Amino acid sequence: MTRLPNRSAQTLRLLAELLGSPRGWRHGYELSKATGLKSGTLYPILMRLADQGLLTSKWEESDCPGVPLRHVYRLTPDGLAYARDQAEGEPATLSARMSKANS
Amino acid sequence: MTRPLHAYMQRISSSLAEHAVAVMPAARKEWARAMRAELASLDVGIERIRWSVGCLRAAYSQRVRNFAVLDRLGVRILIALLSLNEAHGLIWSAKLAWVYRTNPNWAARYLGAESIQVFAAIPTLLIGLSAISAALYAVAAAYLLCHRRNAVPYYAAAVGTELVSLIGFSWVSVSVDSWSLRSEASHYGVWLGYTVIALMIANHFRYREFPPSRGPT
Repeated sequence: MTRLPNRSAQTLRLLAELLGSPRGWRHGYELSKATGLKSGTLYPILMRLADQGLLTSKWEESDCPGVPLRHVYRLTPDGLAYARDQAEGEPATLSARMSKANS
Repeated sequence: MTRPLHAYMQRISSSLAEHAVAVMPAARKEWARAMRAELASLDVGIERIRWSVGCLRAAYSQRVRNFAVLDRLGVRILIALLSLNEAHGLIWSAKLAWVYRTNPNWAARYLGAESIQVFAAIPTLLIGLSAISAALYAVAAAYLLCHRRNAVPYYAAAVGTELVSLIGFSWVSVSVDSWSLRSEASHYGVWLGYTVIALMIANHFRYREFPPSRGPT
């Protein structure tokens, strides 16, 4: 049986968390703490969401000197719409949204 | 936590994260660097270890995703059968060691007088480790057959547990001076394990890189 994309409990938890601050950039550790997901679970989900164009990322300077740059994340407009659909329980599928975006 | 222990855990976690960067496929390196960069923000030793183990898990699962050969059912079945064979061997040796404890007379006849001294010296912990390793191999094989790439952590845990138990068995064999016995195979296993570990360490240092001063493009 094939699994529906982005419908796992962990992914939905992450989408809900990112939806909570749609314009803010979030660090991986911060997301891990907020969602309770371990790094080994969190990052593969982030990678998949980024591959699907639902998440954008960038490197951000730290305020503290000597601390390396950190990777930060937030949902793209498509990602926000998808996360809202999921939060509202609408049966919108990712493929439908992506085909709409590509057309 | 004492300062030396804290420093030691920091070194281990950094090393694990470095290894994750080395293992991650080229197209995903940036993500491994992102995971590694987060380490600088974690103070608590155990938290850093947990984070870096997660990095390693993510890196290996991504690496295995690139093994197109695993998409073939025949290959997965073959690997699963080999894994089950390994599990069978481990559970069998654990069973023999356990039987020796419960019925030493039968074991003496079955195993031969030479092997008895080895089985007599095997601690219960090693029997348990062998059984755990066998169970992990079986679970990993089941995951692999269902095309779940999640088999990787189970394989890693199974191999790690088996290596530890093999080292233990080897130590027991040496301690009872029985290198000439059938348990010699376990010595080869241990040396094979040492070689794999040495190659992994060599590979780790070969690809070692330092945190970027600027974010990768």
